[in-house]
Amino acid sequence: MNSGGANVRRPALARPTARLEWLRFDQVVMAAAVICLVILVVLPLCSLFIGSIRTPDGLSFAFFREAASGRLYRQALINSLILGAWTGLFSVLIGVPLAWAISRTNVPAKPFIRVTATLSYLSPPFLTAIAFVNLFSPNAGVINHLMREEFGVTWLTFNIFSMKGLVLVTVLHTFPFVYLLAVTALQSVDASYEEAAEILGAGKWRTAFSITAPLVAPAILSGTLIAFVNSIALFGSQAIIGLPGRIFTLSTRIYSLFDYPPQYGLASALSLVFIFITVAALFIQRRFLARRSFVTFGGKGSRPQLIDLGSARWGLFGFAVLVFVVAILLPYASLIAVSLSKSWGLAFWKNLTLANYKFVLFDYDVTQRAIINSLILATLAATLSIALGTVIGWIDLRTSVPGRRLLDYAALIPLGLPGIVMAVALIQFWLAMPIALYGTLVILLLAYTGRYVPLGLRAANSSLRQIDPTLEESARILGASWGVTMREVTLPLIRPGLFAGWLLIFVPAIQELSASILLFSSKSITLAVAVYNLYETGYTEPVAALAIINVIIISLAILLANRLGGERERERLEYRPA
Amino acid sequence: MAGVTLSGVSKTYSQAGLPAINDLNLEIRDGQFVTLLGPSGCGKTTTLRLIAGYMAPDAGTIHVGERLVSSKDTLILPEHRGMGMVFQNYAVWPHKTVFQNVVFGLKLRKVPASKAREGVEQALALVGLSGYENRLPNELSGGQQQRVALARSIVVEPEILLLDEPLSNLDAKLREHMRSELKQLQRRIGITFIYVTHDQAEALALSDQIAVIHEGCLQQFGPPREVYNRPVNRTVADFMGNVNLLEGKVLSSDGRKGEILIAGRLRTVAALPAGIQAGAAIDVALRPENIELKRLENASAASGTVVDHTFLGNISEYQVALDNQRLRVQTHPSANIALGDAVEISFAPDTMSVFAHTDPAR
Amino acid sequence: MSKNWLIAIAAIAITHVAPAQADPVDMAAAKKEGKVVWYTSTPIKTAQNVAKLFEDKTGIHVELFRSGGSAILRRFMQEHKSGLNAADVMTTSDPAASAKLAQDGVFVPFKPADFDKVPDVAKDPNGEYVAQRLNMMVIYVRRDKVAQADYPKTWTDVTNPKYKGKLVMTDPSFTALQLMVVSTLSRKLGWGYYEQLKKNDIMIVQGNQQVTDMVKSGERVIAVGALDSYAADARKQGHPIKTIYPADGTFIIPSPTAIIKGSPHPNAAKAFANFMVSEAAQKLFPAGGGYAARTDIDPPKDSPRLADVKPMPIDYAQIEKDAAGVKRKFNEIFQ
Repeated sequence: MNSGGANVRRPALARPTARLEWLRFDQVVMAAAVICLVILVVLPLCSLFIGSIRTPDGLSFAFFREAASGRLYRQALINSLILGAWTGLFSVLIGVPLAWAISRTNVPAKPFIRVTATLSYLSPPFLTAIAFVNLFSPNAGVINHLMREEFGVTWLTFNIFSMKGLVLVTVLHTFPFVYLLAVTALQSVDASYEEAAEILGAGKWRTAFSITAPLVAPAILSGTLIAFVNSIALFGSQAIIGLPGRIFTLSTRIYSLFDYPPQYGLASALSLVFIFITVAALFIQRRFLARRSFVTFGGKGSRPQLIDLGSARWGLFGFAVLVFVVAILLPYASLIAVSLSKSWGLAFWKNLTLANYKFVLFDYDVTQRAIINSLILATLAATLSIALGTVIGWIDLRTSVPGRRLLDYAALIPLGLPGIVMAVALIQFWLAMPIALYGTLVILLLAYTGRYVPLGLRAANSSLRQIDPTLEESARILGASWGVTMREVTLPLIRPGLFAGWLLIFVPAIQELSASILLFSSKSITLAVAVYNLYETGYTEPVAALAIINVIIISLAILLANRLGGERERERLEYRPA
Repeated sequence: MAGVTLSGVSKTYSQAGLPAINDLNLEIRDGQFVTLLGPSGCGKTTTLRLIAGYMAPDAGTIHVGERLVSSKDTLILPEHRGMGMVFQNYAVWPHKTVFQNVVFGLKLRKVPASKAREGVEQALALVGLSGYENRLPNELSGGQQQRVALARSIVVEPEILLLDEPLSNLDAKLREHMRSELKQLQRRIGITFIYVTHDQAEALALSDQIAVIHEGCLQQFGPPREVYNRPVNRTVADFMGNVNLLEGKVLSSDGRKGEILIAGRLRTVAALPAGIQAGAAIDVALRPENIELKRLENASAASGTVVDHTFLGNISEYQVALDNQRLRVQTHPSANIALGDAVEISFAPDTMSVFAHTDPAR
Repeated sequence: MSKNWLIAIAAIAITHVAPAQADPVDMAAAKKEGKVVWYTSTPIKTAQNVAKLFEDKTGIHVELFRSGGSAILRRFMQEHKSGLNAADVMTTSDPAASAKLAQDGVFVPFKPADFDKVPDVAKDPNGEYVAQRLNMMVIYVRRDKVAQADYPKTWTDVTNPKYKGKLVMTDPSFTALQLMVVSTLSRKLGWGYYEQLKKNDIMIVQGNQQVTDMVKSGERVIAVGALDSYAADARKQGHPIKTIYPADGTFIIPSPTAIIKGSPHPNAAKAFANFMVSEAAQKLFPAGGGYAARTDIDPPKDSPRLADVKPMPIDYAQIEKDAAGVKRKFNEIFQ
C-alpha cells in the first residue's frame, strides 16, 4: 500500500489502510457496553419480575396480594414512606439554610460549612447509626445517661430506637443532597433578577423570598426527592436502629424474607413495590429538574451581592456548628471513645485499651479479608462504572444509533433501585443461571457496577458535553481510528471529569452495605458487612474499633486518590472553545 | 484523480424531519478550490460532513476519484479517506503542544521521527508559525490556532482538504489576511479544497467554482463571475451580494429576447429565460454598482426620486424611489446628486438578469 | 427425629455409652489442604480460641465466619442452593434444621474419635452431626438494678407489669436458639405470652451478645431466654449479673457441628470436626462460660451441674415444621 516514493507528489504518504471493516473496534466496544448493561440491569430486573409472579400454582399475582394485604408488609411500606417524608422535610430544613448561608450571605467560616456538608455526605450512614446507638440508646446511651443521672433532666433524653431516631440518623446523611442542589441553583441564578427586584424597591429579604426562592424551588424539591429516595434505600441505619425499635421498613423486611427458609417470590414482589416508589419519586424529580431551565447561568460579572446579616450571621454559624457537632463530632468522638474502652458501660477513663484494635485487626481474621475485598471491589466497580458510563454516554452524545435514548434510560434505572432490591434481582437472576456466581466477589462486583453505572454515566456525560465533537472528528479525518481517537484525544480531555466521577463512586462503593448484605459470603465479605455482622452479634467495642478503621481506610483512599488526581488536574489545561 | 462526485445525495436528520440535503449532484474536479456557499442551515456543512464521512447519506453516492466512499450501505470511515479537515472552531487539541498537534497525523502514518519533525517544520513554516512548536494552544491567538489546524491538516498531504467556515471566528482584518494566505496555499500545494462559507465575498475571492446551496438544494454551480453576474434565479441573485430585485412584466417576446417593463417605469430589451411568454410576470436582478444615475431638471415617466443618500468613502449609495419600489444604486462619490433630486436611471442590459416571478415571501 | 429431651438430658450425667468405631482422619491430606472454612454461631471469643488451638496443633488455618445461628444457616442455605461450596464445617444452634439437612443428605457422616463421649441426644447416631457445646437458655438480671425479691422465677413471671421497660430478648429470625425458645413457649403458653411481653415493652435485639451488651450497659436489666454463657463471661469481667434457672425448666440446646458434603477441604474438615470434641477443645467451652458437649467435662465455674438443672422439653421435629410460621407470627407481634 505504501508507495512511499518522494518523487510522487501525491499521495506521498500512505493512506491509513482499512482493516477489518466488518468488525469495527468501536462497534465491538459499543456492543459490549450494551451487553454489559443488559446483564447488569435489564436481565436481573426481568427475573425479579418473573420471580414475583411465578408461584407454585403457576403465574399469578399471589405474592403481590400477600405483599399488599399482609400486616407485616403494609406496615413496612408505611414506615418507609414515613421515614422518607420526614427525612425529606428535615433535609430541606437543614440543607436550605446552609446553602443559602454559603451562597448568599456573609456568614463566617464558609469553608467549615462546606466541609461539614461534604463530611456528612461521605460518612457511612451505618457507622453514624452505630455511634448514635452508643450515645442515645434509651437508658445506657452516654448522653441520655448524662442527662438523666448527672443533670436530672429526664425530658432531654432521647430514644434512638424510634422513628424519630431513625429520621435523625438518616437526615444527617441526606441533607447534603438538598444542600448541594440548592447551592448550585443559588449560585447559578443570575443576580440581575435580584438586582432588578431591588431596583424596584424590594428589600433584601423580600427579594430572597419573592424572587430567589421561587427560582431555586425546583432544585430544592428535586434535592428533597433525592433525599427521600436515598433515605428509604439505606439498609444499614434502618437495620441498626429500626430492628431494635421494631420499626420494620421495606429494606429490612425484604432482608428478613431471606431468613431460612427464604421467600424469594414475596421478596421479589416487595422489591417491585419498592422500585415503584423510588422510580415514581425520581420521575417527579426529573420533571422538577426539567423545569429548572429557567434558572439562568449568568456567567461572569453576575456574582450576587451578599446579604449582610449583621449579628444574625452568628446565629446561622451556630446552626452550622450544631450540624457539625451532631453529624460529625459526636458520632466519631463516641466511636473513638468506645473503641478505646475495655467494656462500654464501666467507667470509661479507667478502662482505656487498644485491645479492640488488636482484636479486629489481627485476631478477627475476617477484617483483613474484608478490607482487601472492599478495596478491590470499590476500585474495580468505580473503574467499570466509569468505563461503561463513558461508552454509553459517548453513544448517546456522539452517534445516531437508533435506540440510544433507550440505552441512556436503561443506564439510569439503577438510580431507582435500592441496594437490597438490586441484590434480590441479582440473586433471582444468577440462581437461575448455570454459572455459580453467588457468594463470589464477582456477583458483588456486578451489583456495585450496576448500582453505580448512573453515576459513571453522569460523570461521562457532563465531561463529554464540554468536549466539542470536532476535536474527535479532526483526529478521525487525520487517520486515527476510533480507538486511537479515544486514547489520544477524548479520554485525555475528559479525564479530570471522569476522575471526579470515579471518586464519587469509589467512596460509596467502599462503604456499600445495602446490596452486599444479601450477596456476601464468608470469602467475599466486605468491610461494611464485617462491621454490620460484628455489630449484629453485639460486640460494641470491637465494632467501634472496626468502624474507626473503616473510616481511616475511606479517608486514606480519598486522600490518595485526590492526590493522584489532583496532580493530573493541575496538568490539565482548560479548553475554551472559540 | 482526487475529484469528488456527489450523485443524488440526500440526507434527512431524524429529529427535524426536513431534508438537510435533497438530491444533490456536484462534480468537484481535482485540484480546484470549490466553495459551498449558502446561508446558515442550508445544508452546506451537512454536505461537507457527508464528504468527510462523518455520516452516511440516506440516498445517492459519493465517489472520490473512482472510489465509492459513501452510499446508503457503504461508508468508508473518515480515517480511511485520506482527506484533511479544518473546522470553524479550529479543533486544535488543547492538551497537546503545537508540535504534538501537527505531528499527530504523521505518527499515525508511521513516518520516522526525523522525517516527521522535518514535515512539521515545513508545515509550520508554510502557515507562518515557525518557532511555535512547544506552545500550547491556549497560548495562541485564534488566528494562530487556525494556522495550527491548517498545518495539522496539510502536513499529511491529503488529496482533499475540507474547510468548514475556517475564518468566521476571526476578526475582519485577520480574516482578510488569512483569506489571501489560504488562496496562495492552495495554489502552492495544488490539492482540492472544498470550502464552506456563508460569506459571499469570501467565496468570490477564493473560489475556482462556487456551489450555491439553499434549503438543501443546489441552486447554481459555476465560476465566481458567472454566479455573480449570471445568477440562475432570484435566490442566488439575492444571496450573492447587494442586488436590486424588481418586479416587472414581459411586453413582447421572441422566445430568447424581449421587451420588458421594470417597476412600471423602465422599459428595456433583455435576454429572457426559456419558457417565458409575453405578458408573464418577471423578477429582474440589478446590481447597485451597475446602475448609473443622471440628475434631471424635470421628472419624467422613466425617472426616479432620490430618497436617501449615504456617503461610504470610496462610494456613494443612493436609494431611489420608483413608484412603490426602491432601487439601491452605488456611484462614484464625485457624483453631484442630492436628496429629492429627480434622476434618470440607466444600465447596460447585459448586466441585468431576468427570472420568472416567484413570490418573495418564500 | 422426635426425641424426648427431658429424659435424654436427665440421662446425660449418668450414662456412659459403649465406645463406637470412630471414623479415620487422613491428617497428611488435611495438612496438605492447609485450611478449613468454619461457619459458626459459637461465641466469637470461644470460636477464636478453638480455631487458634487447632491451628497450633495441626498448622491448618481455620477461616472463621461468625454470625448468629439463624443468620449462619441462612447464609449457608443460600450458598448451598446456588451451588457455592464455601463452608467445610458448620456449627449452628438449630438442632431442628440440622436434622432436616442431614435427612436431605447435605452432610458427610463422620464419627470423631470421642464420638461416644457425647450423649446420644446431642448427636446423630450415624455421625451426620455432633454437638459442639450445650447452650443454656435462661433468665439473667442485673443484681445491682433489680432487687432480689423482684427476681423473676419462671418464664411467666416476666409478664408482670412491674418489669415493663426492663426486659430484653433476641429475635428468632436471627438467633436459632431463640427460635427453639419461642417455638416451645408459644406452644406451651400460647402467643398471648409474647403479646404480654410486647405490652411490657420488651426490647428485641438480634443476637445473644447484644442482649448481654444491653444488660451490661444497663439499657435493660433483665434478659429473657438468653444464652447463659455470655452472662457468665460478663460476670468474669466484673459485671454484676445473676443467672436464674427458671423453675418451669431451662432450655438446654446442643449446637450441632457437621461436615458439608462437597466442601473444598474435606480432610481438614474431618480433622477439625474430630478436634471439636477432643478434650482440649471441649475444655474451652466451660472456660468461656458455656457447657461442653461431652459428659466428662466439668461445667463452667460457678455454674450448676447439668443434672441439677431442670430441663425444658423441646420437640425439634415440631419446630422444624413450625419455624417459618413462628418467625412470622413473632414478627407480626413485634413490629
